[in-house]
Amino acid sequence: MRVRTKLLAAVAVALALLVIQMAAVSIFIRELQSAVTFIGAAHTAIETDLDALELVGTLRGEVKQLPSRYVSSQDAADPIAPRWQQLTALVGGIGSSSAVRSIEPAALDAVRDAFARATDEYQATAAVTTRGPADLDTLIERAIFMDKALAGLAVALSALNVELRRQLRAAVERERAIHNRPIIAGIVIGGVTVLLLLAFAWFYIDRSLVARLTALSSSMRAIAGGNLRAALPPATGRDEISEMAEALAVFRDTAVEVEENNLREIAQARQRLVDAIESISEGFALYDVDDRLVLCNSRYCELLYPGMADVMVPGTPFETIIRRAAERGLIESAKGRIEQWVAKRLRNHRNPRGVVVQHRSRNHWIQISERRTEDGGTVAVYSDITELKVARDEALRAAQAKSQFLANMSHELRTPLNAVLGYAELIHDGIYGEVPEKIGDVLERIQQNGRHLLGLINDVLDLSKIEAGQLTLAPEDYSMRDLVLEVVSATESLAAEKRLRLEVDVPADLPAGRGDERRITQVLMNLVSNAIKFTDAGSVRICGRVEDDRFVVAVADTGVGIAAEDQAQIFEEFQQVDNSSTRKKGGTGLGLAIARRIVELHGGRIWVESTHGKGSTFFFELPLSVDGQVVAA
Amino acid sequence: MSKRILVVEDQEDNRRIVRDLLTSVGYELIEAHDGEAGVRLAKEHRPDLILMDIQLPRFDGYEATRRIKADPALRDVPVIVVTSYALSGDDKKAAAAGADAYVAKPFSPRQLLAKIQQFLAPPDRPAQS
Repeated sequence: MRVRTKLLAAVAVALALLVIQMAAVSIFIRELQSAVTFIGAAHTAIETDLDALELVGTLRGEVKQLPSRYVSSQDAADPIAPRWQQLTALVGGIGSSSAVRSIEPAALDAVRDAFARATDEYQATAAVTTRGPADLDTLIERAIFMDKALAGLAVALSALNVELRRQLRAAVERERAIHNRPIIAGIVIGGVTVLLLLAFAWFYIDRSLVARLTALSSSMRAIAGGNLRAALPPATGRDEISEMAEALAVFRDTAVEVEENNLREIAQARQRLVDAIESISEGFALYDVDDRLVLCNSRYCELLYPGMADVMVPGTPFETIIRRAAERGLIESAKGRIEQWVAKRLRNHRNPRGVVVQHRSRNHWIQISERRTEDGGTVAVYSDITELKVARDEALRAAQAKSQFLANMSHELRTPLNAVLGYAELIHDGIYGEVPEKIGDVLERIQQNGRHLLGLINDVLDLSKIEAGQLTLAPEDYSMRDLVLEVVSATESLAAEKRLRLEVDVPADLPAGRGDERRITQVLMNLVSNAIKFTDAGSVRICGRVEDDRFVVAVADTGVGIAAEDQAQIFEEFQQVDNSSTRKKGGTGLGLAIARRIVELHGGRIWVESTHGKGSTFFFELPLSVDGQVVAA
Repeated sequence: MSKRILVVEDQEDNRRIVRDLLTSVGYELIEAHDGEAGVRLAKEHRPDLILMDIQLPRFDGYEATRRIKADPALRDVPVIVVTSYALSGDDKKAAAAGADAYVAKPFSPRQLLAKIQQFLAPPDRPAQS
C-alpha cells in the first residue's frame, strides 16, 4: 500500500470511529429523550389517576347521600351527573396516555373494567332517579351497588397508581443511567480512538516509516561509504519506501556487479601482466620508491638468486637481496670485497645508466638493465648473456685473428714487393753498374707497375678492413688548416710536374676539429691527387670552411670533368669512369670508395659536382667533432 | 773513419738493398737479424745511426728502440724506424718509443738515403763522384 493510501486509511479509520461515536451519542440522546417523555407522561398519568381517585371518593360521598336526598326532597337536580362526566374524561385521559398504555396494559384494563361496571351501576341508578320519586329501598340498593362499583374502581385506580409510580421510579432510574452513559461511552470511545491513533502513529509512522527510512538511510550511507555488502531493509509492501529500497537494491546490485566486473577485470589484467612477466625469458623485478621488492618473476628468483626464497618476497629491500647474493658467493665480482661491491652496485642501481654486466658464479654473465619508473621505483631486467658473451668473445677472437691475418697479409705481400722495387731502384740508379738506356726504361716500367701493385694491395687491405668493420676511428684533435697544408705540401711536386696551380683557400680561424686525422688526410690526399691526375692544364683549388657545425672541404679542378650519369658510380669500388685511364693515371679505382667509407664513418658525406669537360669539384663534409665510429661500415 | 750504421732487419732482401745502397755511398754497416741482437750490437759497437725495422723476431723494433734509448751511452744515437705502413699509426708508436725519425714502407732507397743524411754528414768517401 502506498503511504498516501495508508494515511488515507488512517484518516478513514479515525473518521469512522468519529461517526460511530456520534451515532452512539445520538442513540443515547434519543433514549434519553424517550425516557424523559415517558417520565412526563407517567407523571401526568399519575396526576390524572390521583384526580380520578379523588373524584371517585367524592362520588362515593354523593352516592351515600343519594337515598336521603331523594327521600327528603324531590329536587330533580342530580349532583352526580356532572361529576360522572368529569370522571369519564379522567379515566379516558388515563386510557389514552401512551405511557400507561405502553407500560401497564393489565392495570389499565382493570381500571377500564372497573369503570365499565361503575358506569353500568350509574346508568341503572340514573334510570331510577330520573323517573321521579322512588322508594327508599330501591334507592339504598342503588347506592350500595354504586358504592361497591366505585370502590372497585378506586382499587383499580390505586393499583394503577402504585404500578405507575413504580414504573416512574424505574424510568427515573433508567433516565439517570442513560444520562451517565454518554460520558462513559465518550471517555471510552475517545480513549480507544486516541489509543488507536497513537498505536497507528507508533506502528505506522515510527515502525513503518521512520524505522524503514532510518534503515534505508543507514544502508545508503554504508553503500556510499563503499560497503557494497551492507544489508538492505527488506522490501515489504508496495509503498515508496519499498520502491526506494528496491531501487537501492537494484543500485546496490548494479554497483556490486560493476565492482565485481572491475575487480575481475583488474584481476584478469593483473594476471595477464603477471603471466606476461612470468613468461619472459629474462629475469624481471620491480622495486618501489623505497627500493623494496614489489614483484618479480620466478626466473629472477630461481635463476639469479637460487636458494634465497626466504628473502625473495615483496617488501625485501634491494640491498638485502644483493648483499645476501654476494654473501652466498653468487656474484663472482663481489668475492672478497662484498662491501665495496654492494656500495658500487647500489650506486648503479639508484642512478641507472645504460646496462651493467655482472659476472656471476659458475661463469655466468648477466646483463642488468635498470630504469627509473615514473613514480620513482626501479624496473630491472636481468638477461643471461652467457651464450652471447661466449659468442661475442669468440667473435672478438675471430675478428682479432682476422685483423692479425690482414696485418700479416699486408706485411707478407708488401715485403717481397718492396724488395723488388728496392732492387729495381738500385739498379736504375746505377748502384750495380752502368745501365743501358733501354734497360733503364724497362726498369722504370717495372717500378711503375710495382708501385701500382703496392697501391692496390694497400687499398684492397684498407677496404677489406673497412668491410670487416676492422677499421675503427682513432679520434684526436686536429687543425683542418694544418691538415690541408700538409696534403698540399705532399702533392705540390706532383702539381708542379704537370705545371698546375695548386691554390688553397682555408681561413686561419677555422675551429679545431676532432676526428681521425690520419684517415681524413687520406681522404683529402686522394681527392687532391685525383684532381692533379685528371687535370692537364689549369689549377686545383682546395677550399675549407665551416657550415652548421660541419667542416665542408671542396677540391675543385679544371680537368676533364665527370658526366652526370657517372657521378653516382665513382664512389663505388673499381668504378673509375675511364678504366683504361686508371692504369695510365696510376689509380687503383678504390680511392674514392675508401674515401666515402672513411667520411661516412665520421658521420659525414662526400659528393661531386661536375660538368663533363669543364672540371669537377669534390666535396666532403664532416662534423666538427667526432668521438667514435658514427656509422658501422 | 767512416760512419757506422746499424741495420736491424730480419728480411735478407731488405738488408741487402740497404747494404748495397749504403756501402755504395761509403757507410760502414753492422747488421742485426732481430731486436735482441740489435740492442746487443748497438751496445757493443755504438754505431753513429741505427736503422730499425718494426716487425722483428724476439722483440720488435719499438721494444729494441726503447731499450737502446734507455741506455745513457746510446741515448744520443739517432734511431730511424722503418714503419710498415704510414697509415697504420706506427709513426706515433715509433715516436713514443723514442725514435728520432721514421721512414714508411715502401721506401725508395733514395728517400732512405736522404733521411739518413739528415742525421749524418755525407760519408768520408763518396761513392758517386
